[in-house]
Amino acid sequence: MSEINNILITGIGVISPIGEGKDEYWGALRTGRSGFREITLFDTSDFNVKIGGEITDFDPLKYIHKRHLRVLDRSTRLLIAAARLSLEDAGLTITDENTYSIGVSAGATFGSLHSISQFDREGLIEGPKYVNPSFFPNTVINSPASQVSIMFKIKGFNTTISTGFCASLDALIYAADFIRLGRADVVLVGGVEELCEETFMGFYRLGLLSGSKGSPPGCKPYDKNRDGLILSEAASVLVLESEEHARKRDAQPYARILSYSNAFCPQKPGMFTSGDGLKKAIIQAIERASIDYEDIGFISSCANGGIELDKMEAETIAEIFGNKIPASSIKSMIGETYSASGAMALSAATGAIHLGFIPATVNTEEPEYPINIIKEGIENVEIHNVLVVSSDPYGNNSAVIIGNI
Amino acid sequence: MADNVQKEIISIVSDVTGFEPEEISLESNFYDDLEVDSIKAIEIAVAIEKRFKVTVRDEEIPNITTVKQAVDIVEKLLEEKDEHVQA
Amino acid sequence: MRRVVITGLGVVSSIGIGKEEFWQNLTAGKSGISPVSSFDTSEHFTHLGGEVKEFLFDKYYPGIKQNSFSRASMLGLTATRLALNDADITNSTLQEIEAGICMGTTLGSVQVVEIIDELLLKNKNHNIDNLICLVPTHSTPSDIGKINDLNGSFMMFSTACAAGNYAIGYGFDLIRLQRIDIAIVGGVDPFSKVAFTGFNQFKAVAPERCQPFDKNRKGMMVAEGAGVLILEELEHALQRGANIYAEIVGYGLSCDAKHMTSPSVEGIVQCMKKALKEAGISPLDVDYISAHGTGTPANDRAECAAIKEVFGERYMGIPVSSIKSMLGHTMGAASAIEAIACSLAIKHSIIPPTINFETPDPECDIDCVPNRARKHEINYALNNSYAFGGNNASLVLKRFIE
Repeated sequence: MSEINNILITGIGVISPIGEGKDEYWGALRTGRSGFREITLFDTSDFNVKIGGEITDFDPLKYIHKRHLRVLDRSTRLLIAAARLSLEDAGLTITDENTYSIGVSAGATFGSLHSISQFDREGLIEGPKYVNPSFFPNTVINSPASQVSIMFKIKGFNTTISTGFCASLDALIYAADFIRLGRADVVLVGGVEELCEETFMGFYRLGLLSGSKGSPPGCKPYDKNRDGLILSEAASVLVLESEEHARKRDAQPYARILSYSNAFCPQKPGMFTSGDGLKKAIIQAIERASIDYEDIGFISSCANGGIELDKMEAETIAEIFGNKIPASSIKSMIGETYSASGAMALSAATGAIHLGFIPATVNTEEPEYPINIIKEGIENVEIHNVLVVSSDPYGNNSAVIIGNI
Repeated sequence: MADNVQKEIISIVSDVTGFEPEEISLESNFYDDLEVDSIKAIEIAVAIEKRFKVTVRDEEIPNITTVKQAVDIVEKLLEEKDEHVQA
Repeated sequence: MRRVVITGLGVVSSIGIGKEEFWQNLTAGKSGISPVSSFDTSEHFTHLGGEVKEFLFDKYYPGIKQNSFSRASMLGLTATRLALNDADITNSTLQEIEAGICMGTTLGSVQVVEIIDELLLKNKNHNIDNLICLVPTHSTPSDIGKINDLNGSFMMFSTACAAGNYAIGYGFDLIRLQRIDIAIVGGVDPFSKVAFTGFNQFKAVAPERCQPFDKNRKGMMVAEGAGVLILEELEHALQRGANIYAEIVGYGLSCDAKHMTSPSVEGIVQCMKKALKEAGISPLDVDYISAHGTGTPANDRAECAAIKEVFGERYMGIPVSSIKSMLGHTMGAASAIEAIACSLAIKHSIIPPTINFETPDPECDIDCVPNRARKHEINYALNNSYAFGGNNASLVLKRFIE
């Protein structure tokens, strides 16, 4: 018996380069559609790489009134849209009676980097006296999550967690702890990152983007010929709910949180860590779920086509599981959504359990490691449990296991 | 001149509040009709300063409650500026 | 449920580095406000702030290269070392047990972004590769973990000016949930041009002094600093004979869900009520409130109205002080440094004052401990913090009794 067994996922909202809303998103994952295209959000002429996972058909007016839209930055718009979809999907209405038992827990790290830079540059160019004050609130990293609370009148608590690649899995861990401690009945758990010039330049200059050395960009997790990640944007929100609360309002749960863990190992010179932290997080999560290794239907991995990350993750998986458990990285289709990536993976895993499929690691042709990489999507398969992992070069590693109802 | 100031100010107010120019009249109250809060009030003041190259005193901002008052103040500031230039 | 105590304090602030200097100046009512030297303020409306001037990183981490850290990390690392030394915890202890780091920040490594922006505006091909690695906000807890041989995990809370309390609260949770035995918790923010410009454009910065609760208060003072506390599971602390400052007994969070920057009385009231409820105490039990008290007209008015609502007729009888009158507003570090002040206040039975107080404000008719520290026994202290986004957090600290 797992040490937690009464926290459910009852709603999903996704805004992504491969689809808007859970049905489109799950559909794209099942058909192996990828969302990479020429970037239009900013001028890429200074870069060798011009491809990203840009969301092109996003219309914020579907989710946000025009009058509120003006000062909201892209991250905020994306997160509000995903939150609205998740609330609709969960059939949850926020009222004066329940609002103080509902919270928001979101992962975001670079979400406001563009807003910070814009604000700062306006001061440098126009002079500090002419900077527009209405854009100052966007510079704080908690602005997207806070705007979600403002939009939907969610008053229980509002927390933003910035742990890079691990941020939205850590946001889920935090939210589940809050439900366990009786501080909330429902938490909107999510993550968001927008595609912007500042983040893109950072990844580009560190040589982490696929194609930065001249070859055509392609995200190929675990492949012998991988050369980096494709930077993307997305927002996803999951409604986490105590079983008691869900039952009372006749909610239809998709999946159950079985366990979670996070573990640190120090950053090495360069952008990588050893596998010690990830190994510890995975083993702890499995122990805490009280399941056997074989009970894991598949591993939703965090490999993004990066040289070091994929190697570390594959070696860790091989050491723990051998080649028995299927592993799949949806980043092959979505790209690297950084602090949103955990929430994107959780939403995908929830769909996999709910509909019975394993998404493919598309583009991967010649796997470099002896693990069971799913190259072609699998349909009509009963998935009991999914292990979702994230690893960050600054040392955090997070693992979450979700199971069927 | 007066018409222009009015038009420009309504355009600034429209940009900041999200209300259409047709929905904004001289009589519109910033706080009651146009959902302006203290930050948006400062934003309107900064935009006016930038556009007309004038300086609106901080203490004056809370006293400006209608579009007409904003237009009057800007016209007064522009006149003072002209006098300075001539002197 | 396991009990959680505070066994180490580390502070880096404009009025002192290390708990001794900090506490001495805090109880003496010394101001840390001085002309800003981090950048040119001649084009800004105001020119003063709470910078940490004499800050010798080498003293705490000899032989470690400074250029591999952001200023946020250096502030956080220094406060961490001070706190670990104060708690008498060595790196080898940290390796043996499960320990966690929970840090809070408003803008994190924003200073690095500001440097990059300036370099690239001058020359868009400038080499900034070394700086890029310092941009992620979580490089600070990562650096703290790396240098202090952490065996556990870290969390980084970006809940703006309430982040310190969020971090302390979650460290407390992790110990209670038996996931760790020791937590390194706190907040950090370097002096930021973005923050200074933004608050200036909000007309929220005082030109000369920060005067919380004064009728003629003109605003806040932007500042920098770091505050780190060592939280420890009670049995663990007792077994090794640790010095215990205070116990943490609960906290409350709430969200205004109204406005990004204007405080809401309802949100703050709920936050304090939740904290008291979790601590299992009534408003009658509180002996001291460490106010958010930024010194802006809106914050102090809302906070006093909320205190009035929560504490009823007793509200004028509870000492409420704002140490931001001395340090300025250290953003994400503020509530962590204020929790340190609460711990010391409980330990020494002395309440730090609200300085620069001259004219009572009928809208803020609390007892703000004006200008002079006061001898006062504290059993329970309430540490308030409010942030952009309406992210509120109140922490309850208790005199330690076995």
